Amino acid sequence: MTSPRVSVIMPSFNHGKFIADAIESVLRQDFEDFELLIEDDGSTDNTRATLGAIADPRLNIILNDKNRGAGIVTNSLIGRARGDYIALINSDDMWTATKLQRQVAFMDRNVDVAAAFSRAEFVDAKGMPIKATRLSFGRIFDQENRSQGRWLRHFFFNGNCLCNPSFLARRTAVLRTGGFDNRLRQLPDLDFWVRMAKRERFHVDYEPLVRFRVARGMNVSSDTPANAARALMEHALIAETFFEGVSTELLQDGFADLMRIPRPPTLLHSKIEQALLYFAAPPNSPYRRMLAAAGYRKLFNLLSSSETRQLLESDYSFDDHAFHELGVIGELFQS
Amino acid sequence: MSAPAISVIMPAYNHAAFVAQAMRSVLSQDFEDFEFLIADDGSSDGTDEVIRLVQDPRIIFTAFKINRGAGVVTKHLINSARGEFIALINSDDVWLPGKLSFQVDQLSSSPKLGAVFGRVRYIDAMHNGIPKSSMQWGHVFDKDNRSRGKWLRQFFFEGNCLCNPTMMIRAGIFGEVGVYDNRLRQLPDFDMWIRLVKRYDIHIADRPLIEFRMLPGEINASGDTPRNAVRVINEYMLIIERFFEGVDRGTLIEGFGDLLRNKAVPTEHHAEIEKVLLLFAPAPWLDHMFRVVGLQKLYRLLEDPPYRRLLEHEYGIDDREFQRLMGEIDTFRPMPK
Repeated sequence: MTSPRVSVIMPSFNHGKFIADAIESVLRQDFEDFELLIEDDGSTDNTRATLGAIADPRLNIILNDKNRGAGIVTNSLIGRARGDYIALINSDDMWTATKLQRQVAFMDRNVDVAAAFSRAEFVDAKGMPIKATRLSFGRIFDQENRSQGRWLRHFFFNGNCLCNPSFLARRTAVLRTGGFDNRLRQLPDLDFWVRMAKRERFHVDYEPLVRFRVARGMNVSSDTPANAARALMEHALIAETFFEGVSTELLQDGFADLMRIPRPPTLLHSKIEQALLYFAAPPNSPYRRMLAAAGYRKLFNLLSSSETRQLLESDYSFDDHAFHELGVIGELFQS
Repeated sequence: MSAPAISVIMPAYNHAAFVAQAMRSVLSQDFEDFEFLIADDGSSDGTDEVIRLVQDPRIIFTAFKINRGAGVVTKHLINSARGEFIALINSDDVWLPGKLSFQVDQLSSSPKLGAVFGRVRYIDAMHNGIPKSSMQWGHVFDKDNRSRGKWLRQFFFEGNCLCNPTMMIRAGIFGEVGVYDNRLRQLPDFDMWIRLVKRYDIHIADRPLIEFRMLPGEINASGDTPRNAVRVINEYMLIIERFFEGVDRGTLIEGFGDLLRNKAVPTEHHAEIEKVLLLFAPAPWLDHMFRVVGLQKLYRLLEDPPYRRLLEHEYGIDDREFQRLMGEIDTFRPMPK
């Protein structure tokens, strides 16, 4: 059996109302050389019955009894994928008919790009379009293309802005990046993009190739207080290790204009620059306080090692006194 | 020259109006076998000149030109100390008569004690008494004595309750657990006591040993300004992150036993998990901060297979439960203007 060019993977959970439309939007793609791998994460609604009623030779379905989280299911699907490319779709979203064709053609032509994304249009529970201007996040996926460093900068200060169900990437690059982190619920995709952008180039298509579902209370993007709080905490966890594995070149590419020494002469300088970037969030960043709290801890640790302490004092005029001043810049932890 | 029994150390900074009285309260102690090490931290109000006016052969004075912070100066004084015991006084406080002799007796007769402390009387700039009942934290130093584990518990949930300028400590302990951390401005002493009680018993006298000066504004580091109040919380967070480092299972059980999920703490892995889960116990203040630190630690434990297995099977904490906890606290949202 020859491998398909594309492995479409769909983790599914309690989207009985939407999953038939999601599957149909894949099966009706103009581009036909794909396998569609679906893994259900222990749905308790009519999802399983709906899945049983759909037949297509390209379809391959796994049902789990226990709900374990989207990360585990997505990783399992990635492990089963055989195609040159992996494309991801959620069980409540839909693709436009040209989605795979456009992205495969682009990726075949641009071998230096590892992952393709696109813009999206938003639809409600009935599949009716929602005007972008009616949503606070209506323009979030309308991103210009950027260098790897600039993507990292955007993720760091502004958060997620890539449309998850528009993702199509070389399987080898996905495997190099590692899996989706199941500890995260709101931002496993952002965490994945951050790790991927450290080594790989992205491209965002200006055409909307996804019909993205916005249904209150029906999915993980729903705007509930718990989801909002969790998203901020998850961004804090991602920010904590954000610069791990970021080379000095990449750091300069993304952040040079914000750095005290734009060409850090040593790795220790780069480390210090990274810690200082936690205080460089623009005024409109929703993460200013959270990033400052993380940076405060990082500088505390840098001051405990004599090597970095000396550099901080000599090249950055940053000493214990300066650290004390940072401690008053705003309540990092409100009660 | 033989070493004195005690090194009294006094870091001095901008206390020209009070430093002479502080010095006299030391020099007039009935226990006389001490050296009196004083260092001025670059005062700009003539404190160094006042210090020079007080004459006594036991005084060894160093005047630094540049202000570097009480931590740096205190560290210098500790490193210069030759006594078996070290006692500290601030340049605006006053020791009561008999303070040194009382504490020397305590440390000499109880070899297991690492350091001793005492209660205080509060005074204002004019040396008038301030009633404890008139201050929010007036009784903070009036604590009953307890075991090391129970002291840790007190520190963990309630914060500092030991009065730094009442301290007398065995000098060798600084070499063992480190000196005051100058990265901290508000809580270097608190941080020090935590490291101390992880290894040594302490004792607080049930009577006042010093007069503790309360000045308005930022004249001393305890000054209750909004800036300092914010910094206290931030430094508390840095301390809480490392709070249980080096705490053995026995101490953990002794201090926190009733709060542990598995009170037997059968392995070191269990101990590490229990230490993280204590951050989720109801805290009387700064509940959010504790939980943020706890979630960061739990996140890392879940990455480590042996911890993940234990968390899932014995504590019922899996990715799903972690995600639920992550949605429960709302700390990082931008504050309303």
